[in-house]
Amino acid sequence: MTETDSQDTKGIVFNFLIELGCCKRCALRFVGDSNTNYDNPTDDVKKLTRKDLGQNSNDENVFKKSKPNPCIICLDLLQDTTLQTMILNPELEKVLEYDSDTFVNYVSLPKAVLIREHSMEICVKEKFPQFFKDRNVIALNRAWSLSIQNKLAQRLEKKYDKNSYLQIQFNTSYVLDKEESLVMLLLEDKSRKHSIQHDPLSCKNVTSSLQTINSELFKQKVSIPPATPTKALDVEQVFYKHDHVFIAGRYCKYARNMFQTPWSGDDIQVEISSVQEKIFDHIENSFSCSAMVFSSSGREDFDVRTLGRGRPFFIKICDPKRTKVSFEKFRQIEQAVKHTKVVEVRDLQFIDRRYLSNIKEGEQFKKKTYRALCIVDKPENLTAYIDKINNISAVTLQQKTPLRVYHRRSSDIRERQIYSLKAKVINGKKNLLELDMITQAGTYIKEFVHGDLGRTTPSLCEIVGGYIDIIALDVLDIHLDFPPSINHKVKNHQTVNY
Amino acid sequence: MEVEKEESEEIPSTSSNPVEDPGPSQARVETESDDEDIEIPSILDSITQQQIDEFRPFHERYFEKKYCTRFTTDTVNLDTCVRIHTNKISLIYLSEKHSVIQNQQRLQSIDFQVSKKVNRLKNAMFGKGKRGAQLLQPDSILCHLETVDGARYPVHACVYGKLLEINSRVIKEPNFLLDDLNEGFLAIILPDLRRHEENVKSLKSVEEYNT
Ligand SMILES: [Zn+2]
Repeated sequence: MTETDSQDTKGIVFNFLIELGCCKRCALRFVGDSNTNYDNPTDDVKKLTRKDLGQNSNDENVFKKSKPNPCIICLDLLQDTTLQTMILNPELEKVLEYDSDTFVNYVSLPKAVLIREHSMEICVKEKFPQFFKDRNVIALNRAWSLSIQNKLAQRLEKKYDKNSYLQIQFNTSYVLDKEESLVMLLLEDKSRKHSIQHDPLSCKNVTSSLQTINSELFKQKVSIPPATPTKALDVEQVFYKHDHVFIAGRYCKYARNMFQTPWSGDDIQVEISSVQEKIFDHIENSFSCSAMVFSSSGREDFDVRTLGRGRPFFIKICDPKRTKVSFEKFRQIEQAVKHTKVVEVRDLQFIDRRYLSNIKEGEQFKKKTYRALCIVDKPENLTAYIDKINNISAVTLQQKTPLRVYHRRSSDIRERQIYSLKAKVINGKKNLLELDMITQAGTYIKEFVHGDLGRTTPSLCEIVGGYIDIIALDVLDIHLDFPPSINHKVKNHQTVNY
Repeated sequence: MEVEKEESEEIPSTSSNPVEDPGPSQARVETESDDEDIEIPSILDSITQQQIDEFRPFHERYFEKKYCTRFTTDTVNLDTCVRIHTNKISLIYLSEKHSVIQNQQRLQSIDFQVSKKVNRLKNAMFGKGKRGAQLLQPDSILCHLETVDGARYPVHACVYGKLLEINSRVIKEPNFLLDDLNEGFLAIILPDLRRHEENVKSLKSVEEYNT
């Protein structure tokens, strides 16, 4: 009988590993295939042991022998009792609060386990070179995941999905970990030492060292097969987290004394909270999240309103417990924000992170429509000024960094475009005019009008040949189609599952 | 939380992407077609008549006017006007009482080479912190005014800070400094915030100056 006669050889290898002190799942990892049932390996174990221990129908004996010591590779990570300890962790109760239908689970391994695994691979490859020639040993953490998935799924009432946004991580520790992994310092390739930034004994560095390490050197320093351990690993905390999700929309701001984000200004009195706070107030409960991060396509000055369809924004929602937010729920949030009277939100929806760059790239090139209420120095010149404004079509500006922001911006001259200008009288107002403009993003509108002491040229003052200044400014539109607009007439449920 | 992946596949998946997969005809995606419905509230109604009546031009609205008299002598008035923005950025002007203006002299040129090594026009700076900008003290000379009739007057910085800018129009037409006391500033200075109190105390208010 040749060594490659697989079922028999499998049994031989399996027994060899069990005799050395491996647990049944570790032994299976070395001989099993994609059909191996790690969740409940009893049948697989029976198949492998029946032939070789033909005289012994009670295969439990095999394991009783190895019971006194923990598994020499996994330090009992894959043993039923350890898996059971993990499943019974009371912390998992809190994972039930997540409405996610799926989960994905991870485990952190002691470094000693990685070293032991490497040692065992060398051992079996020397002992059974033919058998292991083209054979992939199932990785320990993969086997762990397969062993615990079904049990976790039952416990959490969720399905396992490797792409799930809900991640559960079990941490383990091993009291002799430091002692056993110190050997890696001796084995460390001297030339690599400099490139390793922090801890050469970090899990990551141990893993990468083991991939390239010289086997002969390794054998000199590490016991092959791994020495019998006196202690098993311990199950530590379990961590869980839902990946962040993103929602997007457009906001309007109707107040002239409100910042976009919370402000701790020294000079200006802010009477009401920020746009961000007004929106967050109504988002937080719907998602039961740990934190939110607000981003938008530019921002308006605190005394500028944003009207029309509003300013595109998105919010990163961190560790949300609830992500099944319906189309209707989004509409309810919009209504709730509307009740603040000062902020309004539309087109609120989930958005894939891939589309988020649109909002930032758009910032460079987008156009904006402004409306300004302007005051002029001489009422008798009002119509002449209006005519002069309406006689020009577009203007190219040279703007030095405005005095208003010079203390916090670098010194520069920026070229900006005013694409169109349209001025008109306001009934009954002799010294006021209404000015609509379409401008390039990043144009300082107030400075374009009053000229910033001649530092923006040309200015509207220069153009009309008198003094003209902005009393009030509104953003009427930001020419960026983000996010897709939502038809409010359609009121079906829309549920998105993460 | 450091997550050790059991497999090499990349999370996250795109299958749960709400944008790609909006479900069967639930959220109709449109462009700007329904924008006409959006009402734009009146801009005039957003402010009060009082705000209109009390509106002051830009150079008054944001700036506090102060005067520096410490370099004036018995024979020559070298007073400067310092306008301090609400953000503390300070602009240096000649005072209307300055000898050049009082004597109705005209400038031949302005000399910005204030010492062998220092030329106020060679002022390179980088970034928001304006690194590399020339550092100024109250008695630092910003330039010398040279009149048509051969007189020469130093102009001082008056405050501690960094030189941000010399007025490019004044460089081109020196007499703009005398002729336009709004836009004809000489220099823009970013005051040293640690000495801002000191800066302000050393200057006179408009009332003090005119009595
Ligand atoms: Zn094991």
